[in-house]
Amino acid sequence: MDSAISVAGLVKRFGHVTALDGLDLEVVPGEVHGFLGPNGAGKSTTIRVLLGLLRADAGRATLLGGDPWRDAVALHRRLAYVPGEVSLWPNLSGGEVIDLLGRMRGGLDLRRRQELLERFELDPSKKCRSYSKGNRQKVALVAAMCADVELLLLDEPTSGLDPLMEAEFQRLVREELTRGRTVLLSSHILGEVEALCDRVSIIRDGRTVSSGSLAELRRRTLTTLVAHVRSPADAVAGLPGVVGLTTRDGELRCQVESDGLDRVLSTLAGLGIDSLVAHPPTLEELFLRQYDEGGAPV
Amino acid sequence: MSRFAGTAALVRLALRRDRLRIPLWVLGIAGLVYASGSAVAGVYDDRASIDAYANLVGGSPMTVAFAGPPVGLHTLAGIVVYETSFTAVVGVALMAVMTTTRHTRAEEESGRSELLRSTEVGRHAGGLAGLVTCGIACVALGLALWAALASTAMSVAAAGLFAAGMTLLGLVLAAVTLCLAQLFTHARTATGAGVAFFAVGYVVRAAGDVREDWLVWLSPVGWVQATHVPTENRWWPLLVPLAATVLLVWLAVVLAERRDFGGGLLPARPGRPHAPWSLTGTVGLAWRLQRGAVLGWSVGLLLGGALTGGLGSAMQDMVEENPTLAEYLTVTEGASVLDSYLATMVLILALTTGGYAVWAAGHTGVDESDGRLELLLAGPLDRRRWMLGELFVAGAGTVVVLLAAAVGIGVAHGAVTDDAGEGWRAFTAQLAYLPALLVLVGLVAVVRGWRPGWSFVGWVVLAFCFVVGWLGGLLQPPEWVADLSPFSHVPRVPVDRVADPALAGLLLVAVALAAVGVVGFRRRDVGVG
Repeated sequence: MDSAISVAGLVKRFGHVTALDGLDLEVVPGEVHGFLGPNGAGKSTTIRVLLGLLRADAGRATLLGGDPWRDAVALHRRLAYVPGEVSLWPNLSGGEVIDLLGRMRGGLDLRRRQELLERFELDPSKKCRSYSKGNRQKVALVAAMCADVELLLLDEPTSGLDPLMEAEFQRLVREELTRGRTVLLSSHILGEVEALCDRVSIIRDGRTVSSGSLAELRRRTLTTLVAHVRSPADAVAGLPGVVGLTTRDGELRCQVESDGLDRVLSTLAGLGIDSLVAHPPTLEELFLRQYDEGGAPV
Repeated sequence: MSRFAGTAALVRLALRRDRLRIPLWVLGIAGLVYASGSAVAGVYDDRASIDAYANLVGGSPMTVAFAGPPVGLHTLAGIVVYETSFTAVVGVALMAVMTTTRHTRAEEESGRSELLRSTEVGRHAGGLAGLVTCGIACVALGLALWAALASTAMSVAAAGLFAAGMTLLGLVLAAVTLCLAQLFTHARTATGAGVAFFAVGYVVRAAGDVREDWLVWLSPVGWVQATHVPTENRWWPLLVPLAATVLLVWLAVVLAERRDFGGGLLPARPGRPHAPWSLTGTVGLAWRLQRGAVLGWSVGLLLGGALTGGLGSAMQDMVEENPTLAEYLTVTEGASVLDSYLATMVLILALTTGGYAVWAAGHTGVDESDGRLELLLAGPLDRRRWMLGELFVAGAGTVVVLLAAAVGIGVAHGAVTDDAGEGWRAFTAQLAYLPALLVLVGLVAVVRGWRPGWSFVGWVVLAFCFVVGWLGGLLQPPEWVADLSPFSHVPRVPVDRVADPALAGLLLVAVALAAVGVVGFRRRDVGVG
C-alpha cells in the first residue's frame, strides 16, 4: 500500500537558520503515527511543508500520493489540520469559526458538529477573544473532526486540554481510526503517544533520529533488570551488553541490551533468584536517551 | 488606603509602556493644531479678510455645528480658536478614551493585571493608575497646546484657558471611560462606548450652539467651550468638568466595588452559536471583518464631504471680497474660485479615503501574522482565490467610502447652490479619484505578495501622495517626482474635465499590480515574517 505521508531528505531554511536538515518520515495509511521531538526540532515546520504553506528547499515530500505544494487545494479536501497554537478571529464566536471553516469545505454535518461540541463541552456562542487556549484548541479540533477526511494532521492538539478532555480526545482519535483514517500526531505528552500511536518518529535538529513501532524501538534499547539473588553477582558484570551494574544488600540492578538478555538471565538463574523485575524502557527513557545522544541514530 | 496600594508603581509601568505612545499623541495633536493655527494666521492677515471670515464663514450653522460657538471672530485669535477647536477636541477625546481603556480594561482582559493583582496591589490601584496615566497625558497635551496656541495670534492667557479646557475635557472623558470599563468585560466595547459617549456629547453641543440654548450645558464639550475664548475668557465654566471628574471617579470606585476581577457589571453579549449565511467563503469573512471599518470611514467622509461641500459658496463670496485669499486655494488661472476650491477639496477627501484603502488592503496581513491564515489555507482553499477575495472586499470598501464622500460633497454643494447640476458635478469629480485609490490597493497587494514584512510601504506611499497632492503647489517638486503619485494622474476635476483615458490607464495599473501581488503570494512561504 502507498504511504499516506512519505518524506525523504526534506530541507527547509529560513535565512541562515536550517529548520529541517534532511528529515525522513513515513506514515502508513490507517495508523496513528507519533511525531516526537523537543521544541524547535522542526515538527511544526514539517507539518507546514506538508500543508503547502512552506516550500521545501530540497528533498521529496508526498502526501496522499500528491505534491503538497502543487496539489495543495485538492489534497486539503482530503485532510484536516489542527495547529499547535490556535489563533482565532477575536470578534467571531467559536460556532461561527466552526461553520466558516466547514463551509470552506463545502458544508458540514450539523449532527456531528453538535455531538463534538457536547463531547468537548464547548460553548459555541462565546466570542473567540474570551476563549482560553484549551477552548481555542477545542474549536480547531471540532472543526477538523467535523470534516470527512482521510488524514488528520494534529500539531500538539492537546497541549491546553485538561485530563478529562485529553481522554475524550483519545477516544475520538480511536474512533477516527476505526473509520480508516490516518493520523499524524505531533505531541509532547508521552502518555498520549503511548496510548494512541502504532509507530513513532523521533526528530531532533531537523533530522529523524529514530523511527519505528514502539515495540521495535524498545527492542533496540535497554531493558532494566532488578533482581535479588542468593550468591554474589560478580559473574554478571563481565557479560556482554550489560551496563550500569550496581549491587547492594543482595539487590542487583542493571540495564541489558536485547541481545544480551539470554546470557544474563541464564547466569542469574545459576545464582539462585529470589525475585526478579524486568521492565522495558518507558517512552520517557527512550525519548530522553534519543535527545541525550545528540542525534546519533540508534 | 490599602485598596489603592501599588498605584505609583503601576503608573510608572504604564508610563514606561507608553513612553512613545503618549508623546506621539501629544505632539501629533498639538502639531496639527499649531500647523492649522499658523496657517490661518498667514491667510487672514488684514482687517478685510478677517471681517469677511466672520460674516461669511462664522455665520453658517454648519461651521457652528462643527467648530463651536462663534466667539470673537472679528479677531484673528477668534478665527484661530474657531479653526482649531474641532481638531483639538476630537484629538483629546480619542486620546483620553483609548489611553484609559488601554491601561484598565484591556490589561484586565489580557490577564496581565491578574499577575500584578496577586502581589501587593490594591483593588482600585489598576483603575486609579490608568486614570492618573491618562491625566498625565492630558496635562502634557494641555501644556503643548498652550505653547502651540500662544505662539500663534492668541494671548498667553487665552491660550492657557483654552488648553486648560482641553485638559479637563480629557479628564472628564477618562473618568467616564473608567466607569464604562467597570461595566463592560471587553476593552473594545468599553472604548466604543467611550467614543460613542463623546460623539453624542459633540452632537448635543452642536445642536445647543446652533440653537443658542441651554443644550450646550448637557455636553462635556459644551462645558469647556463655554469659556468663550479668546474674548470673554471666562474661567468659571471649567468648574463643571472638574466637579464632574470627581463625581465620576467616585462612581467608578463604587461600581468597581460591586464587581469581580475580570468581570463586568453588564454581562458580555454572547455571540451567535451558528454563523449567519453571509459568513461564507473568503469574501464573506473579509466583509465580516471589515464592515465596521467601512461604516466608520463612510460616516466620517460623508460628514467631511458635507462640510466642505456646504462651505463652497461661502468661500466664493469670501474670495470675491478679498482676492488675496485666492492664493490659499491655489486657484488655477481661468478657472472659477468655486471650481478651484472644489478641486482641492475632492483631492483631500480622496487622499483621506486612501487611508482606508491602504488599511483595508493591508489588513489581510494581520490574519497571517497572527496565525489564522494557516487555519484557512489548510482547507481546500486556493491561495490566489483567498487573496483575490480579500482584495475584492478592500476595493469594494474603498468604493463605498469614496461614494459616501461623493454623496456628502455632492448633496451639500447642490443644496447650497440650489442647483442639482452643480451637485452632480461635485459628485462625479469626487468619484474620478476611484482608479487612483485602487492603484493604492494594488500597490499594497504587491507588498503583501512579495514582502509581507514591509507593511509600512503602503503608508509611506500614501504620505508621499499627501505631500505631493496637498503641498505640491507650495513645494513645487520636479514633475517626475509628482508623477509618481497616482493622484497626480487624475485630472484636476472639476476644473479640468473628467478624462477617460487617464482613468482607464490608472485602472489598468491597479489591476496589473494586484495580479503581480497575487502571483507573489502564490509563490512565497505563508506564515513566516
